[in-house]
Parts: sequence; structure tokens; C-alpha cells
Amino acid sequence: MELTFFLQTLINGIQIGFLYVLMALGLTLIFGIMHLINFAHGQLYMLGGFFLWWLFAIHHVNYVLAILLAVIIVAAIGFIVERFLLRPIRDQELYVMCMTIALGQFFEFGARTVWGPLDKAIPPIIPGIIKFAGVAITYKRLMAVVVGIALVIGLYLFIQRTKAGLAMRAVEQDPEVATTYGMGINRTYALVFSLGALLAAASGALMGTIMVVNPVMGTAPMLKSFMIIILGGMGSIPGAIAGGLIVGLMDSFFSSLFGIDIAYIFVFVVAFTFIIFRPRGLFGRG
Amino acid sequence: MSTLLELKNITVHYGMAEAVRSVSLALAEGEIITLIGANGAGKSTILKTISGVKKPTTGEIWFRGERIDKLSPEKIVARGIAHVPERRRIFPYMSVNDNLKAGAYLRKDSEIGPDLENVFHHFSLLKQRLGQMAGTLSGGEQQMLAMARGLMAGPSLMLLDEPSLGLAPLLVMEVGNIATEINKQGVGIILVEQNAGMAFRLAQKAYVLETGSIVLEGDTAELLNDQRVKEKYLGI
Repeated sequence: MELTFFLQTLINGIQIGFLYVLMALGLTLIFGIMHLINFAHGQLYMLGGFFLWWLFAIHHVNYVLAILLAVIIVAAIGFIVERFLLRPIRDQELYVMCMTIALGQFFEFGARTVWGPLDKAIPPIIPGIIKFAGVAITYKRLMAVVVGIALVIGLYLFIQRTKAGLAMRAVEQDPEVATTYGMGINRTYALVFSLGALLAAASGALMGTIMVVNPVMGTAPMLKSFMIIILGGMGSIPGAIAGGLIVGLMDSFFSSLFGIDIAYIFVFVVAFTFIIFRPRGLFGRG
Repeated sequence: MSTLLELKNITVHYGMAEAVRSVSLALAEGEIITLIGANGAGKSTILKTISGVKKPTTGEIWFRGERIDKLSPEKIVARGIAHVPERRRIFPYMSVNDNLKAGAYLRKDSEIGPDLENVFHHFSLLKQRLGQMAGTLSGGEQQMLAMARGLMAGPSLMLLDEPSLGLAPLLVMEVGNIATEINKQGVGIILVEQNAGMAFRLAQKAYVLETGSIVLEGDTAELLNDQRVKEKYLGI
């Protein structure tokens, strides 16, 4: 493999990896704290992409504002879903799982009904390419990486430094004791689900700027995100970051070398290998 | 002395099973009382019912003249009742410092400073361990942290559930001494123990529980001479 080709593939892998990281972080937060597998995560990602397209390409809202609004709208949807559809059935895991599957289909076919099944392109805000040592990266991809890193750092600071973040960690580790010290479970779950939705939407919006937006865009990234959090360790934040980057790099290298189908299959082979031989993943707590 | 806490005919169920049957007890301001009894006698359930984690089926709980048995755990801790649970249950993947902050979750930052000093006064070893992950502390240190976390809630009543469990005799002594010091600052304590020796040394009043009911109650000085207590709980 030539050096420039290697570097190009590496950069593409890191860039796609950060978008996986965002999506997997949302999924792993929701799983780790609420013990809930969110099968609507891919559709929340898709809604992030569609709302950005709708606001920016159709209504010409300022780009930064459009991204902010798109993720806030999806976070609000997450809040409503948790409050009215998940909370009443919280203790019945099977119902919760079926509910998230139903919601995912509702969002997917809702989007199809409202916006149609065809691909939509989000025009680049800054067109053009940076070239460095024979390696090229478009501004829109670079921006996706920068926003992705900023969100990961922001999330880390939120969890480690704020009172709400302290409650999230305490509720994760011992919900009963956390409530006896005044940390409300309902409030924490509402926050966690909204935050998870926000991260999925951010990932979808950024991916929408790089690729295209359509109603089924979330399915494959969601399935990969499940594998990412198995690889990294279910519920682990460092695990979601490491797992997302690893899968991003695997995607990039294996699709360059063997084609996208082999690359896609390989992610799942790695996942079931981990499930059998190291079920707690790279960073899980066993 | 005025009454701090009063339970009136409290009955608690887990599903269909009755765990606590018509228990009444009272605690004056600044007093230590103890609940003793075998495993499964309902001692921990009574503490959980006071802190609001369990709701009683019937009966009333009054704290400083206010009925609290219908309140959420969040509101109960805000009124000054801190629950230090059985088996410590510190947050293992959080630092010692974050565990203490979690104890003070409902309080304003300005109130926490003096309390932190008070905590370090009682538990000096925690001061050197602030950055350490709580799950890596020894059993004794974890018990200290669990009590310190409770103290950070600024309580006027502490519920201590088997603080001596799994500790070496010397540490049991130390935990007992710290509980006495905390009590001297005006904090009432309900101490649940299987280690009746320690409990009788600290408490002014004792309630003996068997299968969910109080079978014996009185001043610890008197109960020490009771033949049943001697045989069953003190082993003398």
C-alpha cells in the first residue's frame, strides 16, 4: 500500500469513526444508565439528517443555527418519547424493546411520507478541499471531525463536571442509593434519553452533509453502533470512543482493500467473536 | 426532649409477603436507638421505609411534626434524613470526592464547605483519598465513606444499616466511636445491628425484632439484664 493511499484511508477512517463514536455514545449512555436497548436510535439519527436538510436546504436557515435546531428538535422528541411512551412501561423490558422498534418504524415511514423516499443532498457550507502531503480532505469532512471531537469533549465535561452528570453516574451505579440522596430517577432518565437522541441526531446531521439524507440512512449505522458498543464494552464511554474509531478505520481500510460488502461483514464477525470470547468488550466492567 | 421521628403502626409488604408488622417506635432529638434482630427480621426494611425507598402498606411516619410516609426519597433526604445503606453501597466507579458530592446533591455549594471540614474531622483518612476510585478502598474505608456521604446530606437523623458488617473488631470500635461523635453534634441515629454488643454500647434505647414485629423494647441498660436478650443476642 502506498503511503499517500494509506494516509488517505486513515484520515477517511478517523472521520467516519467520529460519526460512529457520536452515535455509539448515545446508544451506550442509554443502555448503561437506563438498561434499555434503543432500536429507534438509527431513526433518531435519520431525523437529525432530515431536519438539517429541511432547515438549511429548504428554508435557508443559517447553517450553524440549522444544526443546533436540528439536534435540539430531535432531543425534544427523545424527551417526549421517554416521558410518555417509555416511562409508563419502564419495568417491562420486552415491551420497552418492542416500543423502540415500533417508534423506529413510525419515524422511518413518517419521514418517507413527509419527505419522500429519495436521497436528499445537503449543499456544502464551505466547498473545497484541503490538500496536504498528497492527502485530500474536503472541508465538510474536516468540519464533521471537528464538531464530532468538540461534542465528545463537551459530553465528557458534562458528565464529569456538572451536577446533572454526577447524578447520571450515580444513578448508573446504584439507582436506589442515588434516589435516597435526592437524585431523581425520572429526571435523570429523561436527560439521558434526550442526550442520547441529541448525539444520534448530531451524527446523522453531520453524515447527511457528507453523504445524502434518506429515510433508511440510519439502519446500517445503528446496527454497526450495536457492534461498536459490544466491542468497546456495553455502557462504557471510553469503549464507545475506541470502538467507534476502530470500526471507522476497519470500514475505511477493508472497503479500500476488499470492497464495502466484505468490510461490512467483517464488523459483525469481530462483534460475534467478542460476544463469545470477551463479552465485556475492551473497556466493560465485567 | 422533643420527638424527632415517630413510626405509628407501620406495616410493610414485599408483594404479598409481610416484612414488617405494625411497628411503632420513637426517637427523641439527638438520641441513638438501635434495632436488633436476626437476618430477615425486618430491620433494613424499616430503614428503607423511613427513607422512602419502600412505602408502608399501612401506618404513619412523622418527622419533626410532619407526616413523611407519602413523600418521595428525594423530599425525605431534603428534610434531613440520611440513609447509610447496608453493605455500604458507595458508588464504586466514582472518586471519593464525587461520592461526597453525591451525598450533598440537594444542597447549595455554599453550605458544603464547612460540612466537608466536619467530614474530614471525623474521617481524616478520606482527605488523603479524595481522588481515589471509591471501589478500590478497603472495606473499612468504604464504610467510613458511606457514613461520610450520609453526613454530607446535612442530616438531623442518620439511619445506619449494619455499619459493623464484615469489619475487623478494631474497625468496629472506630465506627462506633465516630457514630458517637456525630451524635454528640446533635444528629439522631437509628442503628440497625446484628452485632448487639456494639449496638447496646452506643444506644440509649433498643427495639428487638423478630419476623417483622417488635418483641421487646426498652432502655439498653435494662435490656442488658434481660435473660432473653442475654442469651439470644449478646451470647452471654
